[in-house]
Amino acid sequence: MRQQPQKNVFENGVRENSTSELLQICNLSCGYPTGEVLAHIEFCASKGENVTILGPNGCGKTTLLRTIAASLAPLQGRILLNGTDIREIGRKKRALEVAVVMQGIQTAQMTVHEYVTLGRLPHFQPFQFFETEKDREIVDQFLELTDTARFKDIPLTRISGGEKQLVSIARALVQQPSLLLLDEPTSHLDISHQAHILELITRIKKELEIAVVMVLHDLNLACEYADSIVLIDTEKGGIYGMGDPGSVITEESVKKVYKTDVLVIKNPVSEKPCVFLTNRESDATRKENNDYGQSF
Amino acid sequence: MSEHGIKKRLFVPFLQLFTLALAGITALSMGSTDIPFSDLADILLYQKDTAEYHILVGLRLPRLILAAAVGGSLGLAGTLLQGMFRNPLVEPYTLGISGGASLGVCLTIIFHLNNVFGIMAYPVSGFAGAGIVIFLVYSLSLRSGSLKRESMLLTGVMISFVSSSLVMLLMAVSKSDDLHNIVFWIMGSLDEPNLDLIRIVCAGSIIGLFVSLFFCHDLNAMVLGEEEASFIGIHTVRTKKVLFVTASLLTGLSVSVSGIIMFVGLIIPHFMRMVFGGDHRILILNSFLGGATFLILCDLFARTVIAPLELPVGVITGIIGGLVFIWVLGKRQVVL
Repeated sequence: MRQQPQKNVFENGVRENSTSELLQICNLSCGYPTGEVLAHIEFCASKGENVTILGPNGCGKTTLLRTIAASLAPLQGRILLNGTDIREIGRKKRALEVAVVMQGIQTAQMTVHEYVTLGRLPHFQPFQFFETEKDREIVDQFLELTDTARFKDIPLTRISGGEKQLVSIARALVQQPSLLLLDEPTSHLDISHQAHILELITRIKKELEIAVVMVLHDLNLACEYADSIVLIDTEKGGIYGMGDPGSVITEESVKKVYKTDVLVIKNPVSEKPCVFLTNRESDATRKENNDYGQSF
Repeated sequence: MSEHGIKKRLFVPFLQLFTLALAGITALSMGSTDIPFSDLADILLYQKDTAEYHILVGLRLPRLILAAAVGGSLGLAGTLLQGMFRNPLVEPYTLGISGGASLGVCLTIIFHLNNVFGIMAYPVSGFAGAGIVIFLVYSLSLRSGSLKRESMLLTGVMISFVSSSLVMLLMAVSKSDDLHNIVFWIMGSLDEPNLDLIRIVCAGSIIGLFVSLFFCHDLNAMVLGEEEASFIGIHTVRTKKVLFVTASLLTGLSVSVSGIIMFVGLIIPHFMRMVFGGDHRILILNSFLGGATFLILCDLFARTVIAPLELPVGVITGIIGGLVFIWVLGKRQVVL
């Protein structure tokens, strides 16, 4: 991700910059007809990069993601995929490039295998009734990759939340996209599933050279797994800061955006920032604060 | 289900076709005059002057074909509506679509539109009434935010009430000739003397079947929700438009010829989904064939159980369907 210098290039005309960026978002305003939610959004994502969008609840992270997915029309600005405006790409062609995993999949009376196979629909020829041998191979391949093959014949209604998330990702991957959008892929999951899913995402972005743009709400997970972070500020209605986790997630930025006092230290292994909350009502904190002569 | 599951399951529609044929032969042979199975072919092919031949070709065969077409249409319309609304309780009757169609047909009878436009006036007015109701239900339930299943069903039930009240109003103010026509038609039976109407219903149901098959992948994807479906390249708005028109056509034609026959569109798709799976590639064929078989058997029952009198076939589907509806409603979690 590049920051400020990139902006000038956009102003000079988008086609001129022949960067390797897969996704370019230029001066985007998004929201609903009733009102703008976010403005002046600019960032890029290249192949094999994980861009994570962070921000407080209700700041418009999901709105932004849905706009990038072309499910919402942008109020202003453009979203370019390989230099072409995403809204000018046909729906089916877009589904060959962009796959989306939203929160919570509909529970339908179908097996995991049937559900994942639906992801092959964009690859179907007109009047094609059955999936081809190739479709089946690709479905099997990604069922293996996401470690969901072992329950592929179980109905969707009978698998757990973590398994559903994995199955959704498998469904997105069989589309063979170049851009993968995910909305809070780790919400409501325990720590082992969180790690499992984010490690899977890291693996697929590397191995399949996919650009990943995802929304997370957990700061520590984002710092640990993102290549770059876009931090959204509700008050500003736009980007507070972006870049690698170390430069974006600081005690100051978290205090400004989340209105919360935190302690940010380096993870001793990964050297990524790590955000700590302290219970201000606990005796230990009170004592420490009294020792330093501070009070809340 | 193995990798070749879908192809393996294609034998199911063939099985259904066989059952349909069996039900058809039974319906041909049973009635006020029983004609043994073994004689059917002989009579149809070689004994064209006998009374049995005239019973078969003049009465039972048209009725059989109409029952198959109406049953298939209603089963298919139920499948399409359930797929699009993602709600297992919707069907032409519960959404008020049948009611709208019947109001349209009543207006035709009152204003003698058939004198102006010929026999086509009935199916066209049924189709128009059904279409208007689908549009109303959809836009009303969209306005209240997302498609909520309870509010949509309530809207449908209310529209049903309103249209049946309007039909009663029309009956109250109509002349006795028209009244007789309306009552006769509302009682609804598959005993339709006009061959042209039977042909129209047949053609409509087959067109509906092919259009639906063309959109089977879209329906499969839309089970996941409209936004998710659009993410895998489905043009959801266009699909909905086409399939709403198809469902109105299927329902409108059926109602205009045979009156309101309740719940076929609820029972059949449910049963087929439970037994043979929810993949619309198979489900569409299954619901069509299953609906046809079901209505043939119901009609056979209706005209033989208190012979020589006849029950309206809607009575039988209504009783079975109402019970199924309550059972589905009581299930803790209903999924498509």
